[in-house]
Amino acid sequence: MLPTINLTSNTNFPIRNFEEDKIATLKANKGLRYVGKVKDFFKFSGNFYLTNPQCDLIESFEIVILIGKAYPNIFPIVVLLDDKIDKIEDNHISEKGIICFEHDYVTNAIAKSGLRLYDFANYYLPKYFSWVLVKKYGDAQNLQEWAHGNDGTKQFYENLLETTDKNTVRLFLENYCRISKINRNDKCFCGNDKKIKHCHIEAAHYLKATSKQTISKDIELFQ
Amino acid sequence: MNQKLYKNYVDDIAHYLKQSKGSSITKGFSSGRLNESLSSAPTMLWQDKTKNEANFRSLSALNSITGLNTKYEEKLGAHPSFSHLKNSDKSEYHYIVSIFIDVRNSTGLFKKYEPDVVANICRTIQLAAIHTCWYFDGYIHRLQGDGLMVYFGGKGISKQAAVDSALMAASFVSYFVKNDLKNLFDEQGVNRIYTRIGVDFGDADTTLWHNAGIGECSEVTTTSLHTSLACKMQAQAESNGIVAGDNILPFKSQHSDYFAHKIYKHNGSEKQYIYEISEENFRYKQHDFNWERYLKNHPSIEEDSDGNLTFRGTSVLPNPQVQQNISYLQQNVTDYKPYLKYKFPNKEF
Repeated sequence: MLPTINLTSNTNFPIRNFEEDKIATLKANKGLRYVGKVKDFFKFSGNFYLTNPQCDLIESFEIVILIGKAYPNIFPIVVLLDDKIDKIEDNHISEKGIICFEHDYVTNAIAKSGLRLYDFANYYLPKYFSWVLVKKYGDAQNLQEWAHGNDGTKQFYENLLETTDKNTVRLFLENYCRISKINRNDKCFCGNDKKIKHCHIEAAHYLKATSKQTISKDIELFQ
Repeated sequence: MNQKLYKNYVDDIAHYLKQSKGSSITKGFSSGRLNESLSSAPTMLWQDKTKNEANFRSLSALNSITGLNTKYEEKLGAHPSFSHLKNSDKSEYHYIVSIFIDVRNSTGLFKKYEPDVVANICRTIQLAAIHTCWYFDGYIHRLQGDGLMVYFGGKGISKQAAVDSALMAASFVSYFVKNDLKNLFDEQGVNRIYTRIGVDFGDADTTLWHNAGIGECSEVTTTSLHTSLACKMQAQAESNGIVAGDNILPFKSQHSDYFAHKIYKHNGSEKQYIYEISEENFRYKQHDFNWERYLKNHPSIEEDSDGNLTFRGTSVLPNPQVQQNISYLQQNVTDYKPYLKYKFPNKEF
């Protein structure tokens, strides 16, 4: 099963709407500025400061953060503007500097349950920038990452269903795409004789954040 | 370097300049108002140490001029070479290069901006000047309004190095205000801010270091004609100009390329600026310093097609803070797995 990422940190102040989220984010990230609403995005720009627990600056990164109008049910887009990281696939960043923080289906699940910018900045920005710095300067052998492209998607399903058996995954996806509603007492999609509530109910619910059209295209990955 | 040297400062100032009274995007920075009443006093961002250090480090291309790997260090208080004179009755003669940097025309900002925005704009310019001076081993002696007084040199530093550093620091500050802030003020319809800088060298026989004031309200300072003259010369500088005392010239072998005797018009005729003590037959000339030519002729500096300065041979030095914190960074990425999709949004952001 995928690790559950709890992105609702226990702050001692309320974040009830975008305005409060914006203020909390800017207060915690002194290098960022709120530019305003640009096209369909709430746009932030400036520098993210990666600090250690003593708040000493390790490195700063010039970024743009874009939040779609579906906020808070949207995963932010972050573009790196400076050249402190090589913009190559191995660093999980596009040539134009768009950072790929997470597998899409994980971000879909996070977005579905709502994501505050404050929590995103607090969790993903330090994680990603630490990751690339360790890759360049530290012991890269212990780093984890999803494989790129479809191989990463295969890993995602294997993690989600806790199996590397491609027939099981394929069957699960075929059955999942066929049904219109998940009934807890139905037989599990994986072909097991157990009821789904005792088997892969969480995995099935996790996938609801991603469109069935997208998932059905993934079935061929397990042929 | 493929971006403006002072980009961090410029971006901040550009953002502040959009926050005119009544603007809909005021307080785009954190103003410390979460759960506080709107009337509470705003947080002053330039005081943030992390932000200051990040901005300082953003000027690291200046290391290619100095040949050093300058670390962020808040050098304030008494000049370290003379700190032993603090609250002492002793004094000491030692050379020093003094520069006065005055940031002019900020008063006009009040017409359009709230005090906190004016403060942010002025302090950001001042910090850019402070950080630049730190790169060139300058010692900030005093902040005066929007300007500052800086010493270059000290024990163990050659006079030549002190003069070179002072001229470079003054040139870069002028460059920042004249070039990088160019257009920002015009675009917002406010009068452009400019600097005036005076620089002079006082040799050991004329520069006395001593304590001034009493107890907490005291400082180690100099009494020198040339420190005083640096301040006066600043007042005579053109917009974004630098005026240097005659003592500076012997340190620059090609001084005729960069220094022109300062003149002024009086009753239609041109006269030279000369500070005179007639009883002592002392006549001291002042010179306009062509800092733009000085920068462009520096072997490590070149100019791109947009008129921005770039640095030859700039290499990205490993950031020592990364190595020092590598175990923390590794701990930070436990259980984190980035991904790479091949279909990215095909938009320009």
